[in-house]
Amino acid sequence: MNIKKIMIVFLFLLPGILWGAKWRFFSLYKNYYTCYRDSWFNPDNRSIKVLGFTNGLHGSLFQHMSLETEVFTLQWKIDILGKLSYENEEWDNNIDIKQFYFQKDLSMNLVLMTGRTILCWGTGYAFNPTDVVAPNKRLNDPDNRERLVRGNDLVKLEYFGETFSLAFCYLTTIDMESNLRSWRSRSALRFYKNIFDVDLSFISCFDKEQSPLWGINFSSVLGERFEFHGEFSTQKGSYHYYHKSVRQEPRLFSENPLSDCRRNDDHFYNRYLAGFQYTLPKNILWITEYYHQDQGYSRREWESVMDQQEFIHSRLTSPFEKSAEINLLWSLNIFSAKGAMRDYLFNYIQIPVNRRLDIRSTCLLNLVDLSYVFIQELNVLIGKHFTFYERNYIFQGKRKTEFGEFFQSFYFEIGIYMK
Amino acid sequence: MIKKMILCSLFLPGLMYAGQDEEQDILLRIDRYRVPYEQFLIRTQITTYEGNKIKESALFDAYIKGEDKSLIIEKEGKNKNMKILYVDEKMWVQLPGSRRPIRITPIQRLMGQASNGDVAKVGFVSDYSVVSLDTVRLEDQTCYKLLLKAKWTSSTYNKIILFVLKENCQPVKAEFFLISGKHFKTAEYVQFGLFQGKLLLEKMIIYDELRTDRKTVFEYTVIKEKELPVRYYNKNYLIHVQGL
Repeated sequence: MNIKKIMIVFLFLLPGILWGAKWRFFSLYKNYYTCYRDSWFNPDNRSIKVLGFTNGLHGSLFQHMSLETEVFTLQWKIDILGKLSYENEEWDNNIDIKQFYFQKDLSMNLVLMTGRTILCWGTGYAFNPTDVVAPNKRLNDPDNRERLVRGNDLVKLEYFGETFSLAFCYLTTIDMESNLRSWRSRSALRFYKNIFDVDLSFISCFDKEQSPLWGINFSSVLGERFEFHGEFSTQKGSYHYYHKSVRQEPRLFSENPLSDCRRNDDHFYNRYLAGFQYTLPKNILWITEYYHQDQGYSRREWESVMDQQEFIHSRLTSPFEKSAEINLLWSLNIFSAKGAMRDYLFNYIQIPVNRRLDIRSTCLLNLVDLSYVFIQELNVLIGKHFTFYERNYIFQGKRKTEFGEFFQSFYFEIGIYMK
Repeated sequence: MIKKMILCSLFLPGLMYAGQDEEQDILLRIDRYRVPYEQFLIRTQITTYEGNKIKESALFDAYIKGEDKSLIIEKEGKNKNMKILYVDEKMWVQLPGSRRPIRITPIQRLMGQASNGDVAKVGFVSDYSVVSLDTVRLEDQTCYKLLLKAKWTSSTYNKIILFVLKENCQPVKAEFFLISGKHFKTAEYVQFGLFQGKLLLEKMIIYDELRTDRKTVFEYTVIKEKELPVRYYNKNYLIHVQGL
């Protein structure tokens, strides 16, 4: 597989050199320490050991190369990421094509884009209920500064008017409902227009295995420093994967208990987000967002999940030990990058101390059980091209809360990147 | 007597309108030093100084279209490839690597004492109206002193006091004020040069009113007619902009 990728890279380097392509390089080296937690999902670090993860120090070196050029009015861009890592006491290497797309202006107003790319149709920073074309976001790096996000494979046709645009997109994407990966194909439409100083987008998404999704998002500014935005989407039925324990008494399951059991529900499930971005004096950036998803577990459902975990725990010392262990691993998939429960508050502050030093802090608070993830980050610019950073995550909460039971308790990362 | 007064009152609006016409004409003549074509490219080297020491430097290309549209690309500097779009008093920025343009305001700082609006908007006519016009002496030169008031709340500055040479309307100095009435910064138009046969502003220095040791120098190195298709001025096209 790697040889294939290297061949593709080589094929595109040559014309790139001949036609004077723009090159960009980005290197990232990081060391990180993960501390796993003894929780109802990971008793005595048992789940983590089965998965082969270890508490301790790991390291990764990433080399990102970006190349873009225009050949006979056909523009193309390729982003390649090479990774060399030492994780869980094993060396690993990998080459991944993060973006590789062609773009052609079919007329003065019509643009065709095809290939793998990262699009973004949402207006939210941490969550995007309407963004049906974007790859999954990473909470620690929503802007993809580390360039680790892989684009979706798509064909996009967009008409640009003077004050509006209309886009049609057909894409294949990795869906991450409840942390279970599945490849999906879908088509999406977006109509954008600026009305009364508000950027408005109407979005719809069609998937032959799901009911259509309808969404609207907006963003605008008020005064000199205040930006506000919102997103709303609705869909008949829920395609979220739920643990069967929300409907059944605790027991050991013989097959994966996570299922999209509410896909045929008659009522509509809504997701919405409201937030603002405020620039304080001295360029301090403050972002706050509230996010709700009907699809998430309610407090009562979460309690049922925890009862199930307690039950599994009680069976770990019984003759059904192996079955209990597998049930533990299945349960880990409840945790999702989209959040497992219904209501969240996101807060981000970036303080530029001086030209070389900035401090950032991110907090995601589960409003139902008041558990939270806190991420603190420090960036120091060294010379013109190097940035040293330190970042740590703390997952905190009472017992039987979402982040209090998360299988990691602490994560610390230091690294250096060059661009 | 009454007849004369009635006659005068009939002419008064006309006379006032003629006055406004003259003021507008002066503003148009001032803009000719900065807006030579309907659509054009203006390349600006911005350097910020603290005392005599260079603090930061960057190169920007601004593609101006009419009075209400411009696309700015940072060609060299800390945020290389950053794009700023200005359309009908609205502004968006697309940071390098980011896939999402975000809304910003013209007054937000670009670098040093330069605001986004200082690069995106080069003329006065579309954004400001003349409130008063006087003739004054400034550094041994006879100048017009114009008090400009913003037409829109989204204009970069609320009020500008502009000094231009009476003989040819060449700008000399401008004082910029915020809505709060605060004297924000002062610009000196220090050098003019020929660009494709047109006499245009070549160098401008902006001084910080609070930190007098700080200044930002704008040097216009290229000004030429250039037309971009209308899609370049659509917010959603920002991610597609390549090859400029």
